[in-house]
Amino acid sequence: MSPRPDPSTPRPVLRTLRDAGGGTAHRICAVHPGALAAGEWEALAGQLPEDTALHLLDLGNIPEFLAAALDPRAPVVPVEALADRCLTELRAAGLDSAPFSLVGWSFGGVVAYEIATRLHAAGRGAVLRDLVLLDSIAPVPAFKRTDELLDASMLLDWFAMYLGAKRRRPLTVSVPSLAAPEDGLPQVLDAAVTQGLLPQGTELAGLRKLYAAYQGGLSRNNRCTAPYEPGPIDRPLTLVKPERSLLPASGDLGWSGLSAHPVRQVGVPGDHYTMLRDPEAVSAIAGLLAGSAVV
Amino acid sequence: MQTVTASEAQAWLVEKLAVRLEVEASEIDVERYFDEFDLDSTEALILAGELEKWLGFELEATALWYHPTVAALSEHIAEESANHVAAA
Repeated sequence: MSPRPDPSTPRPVLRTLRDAGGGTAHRICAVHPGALAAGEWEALAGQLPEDTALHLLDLGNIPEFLAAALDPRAPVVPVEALADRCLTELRAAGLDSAPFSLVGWSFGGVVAYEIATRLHAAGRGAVLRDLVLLDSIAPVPAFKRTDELLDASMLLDWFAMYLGAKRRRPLTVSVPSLAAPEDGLPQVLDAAVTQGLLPQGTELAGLRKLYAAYQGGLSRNNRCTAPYEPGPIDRPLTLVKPERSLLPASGDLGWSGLSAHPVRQVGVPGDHYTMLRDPEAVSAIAGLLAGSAVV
Repeated sequence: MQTVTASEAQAWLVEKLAVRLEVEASEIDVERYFDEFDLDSTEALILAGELEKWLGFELEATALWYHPTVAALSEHIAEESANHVAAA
């Protein structure tokens, strides 16, 4: 048997996905929300120019944040604490002294926004070249949702999108109006088995467990966002929105409420969970980040 | 609720893994770590949900960490099953 890591050993929050070595001209720091594997960023890392480094801040490796997804009674981790942790990691690695671009995916964008806010408040806003949000929903009152207010059909549609990303095959399922998302899981199971995402014989109890894990993460993010009331920031924001965004009909996802500058919106193919995998989307995001980091 | 023995739990796990991995049950090494099987996190969660339905009780989220092989998990399940039956 090969040696197995001790489960109590903390996993690194910050790691370098692409090291440009001594020739680093551009630096990008990405905040990963933890729902999918951190490896999702590797395609992007591969598309960046030679002289561009990519560092990943994986929120999924912050033990108290992970615990809050597994147990709804676990204390909420404030967005401010998550941003503090990320800044501490960047500082310890000496990555916050030279200019960098900051990008956050999904809930990672909310944490990235708070990181930017903190840098601005400390008079260090100039170290941030750009702030890019990948289909992140702004933490503003009009866009905050408690679990009870989330539409059941919409939630199930998000779960189908997530399942498709996890199984690396798109899932088409027509979701009727539902009282609770769990009521639609039999249809998702049928569609997933018929379309070859899950093997014949997969039981509903198994899919329920997967849904519970997915919903636990989503609910944790909503609980973390609920008490967070950030002020506006004096800098332009860029929002990258995939074709199948979490909220396709909701314009800039509320970000114009947090900046007096116009929100730059960039559309890419793919959906919320595959936007770092779709080749065209990856190429567009790489170009955007590399371009934003030009000295 | 009836007690599930370690050998019953092991037989259930071996059969499910064999079907998922499309191999013969005899090819499943019960001393191998779960994360060394070609099983992604989605499949592991689905398998856990099916296992809990069969058992009639939920396992703690850390069960696979502390009992990382079919053999070890089966022993743990047998202990948990006996505890549940005793508490019922």
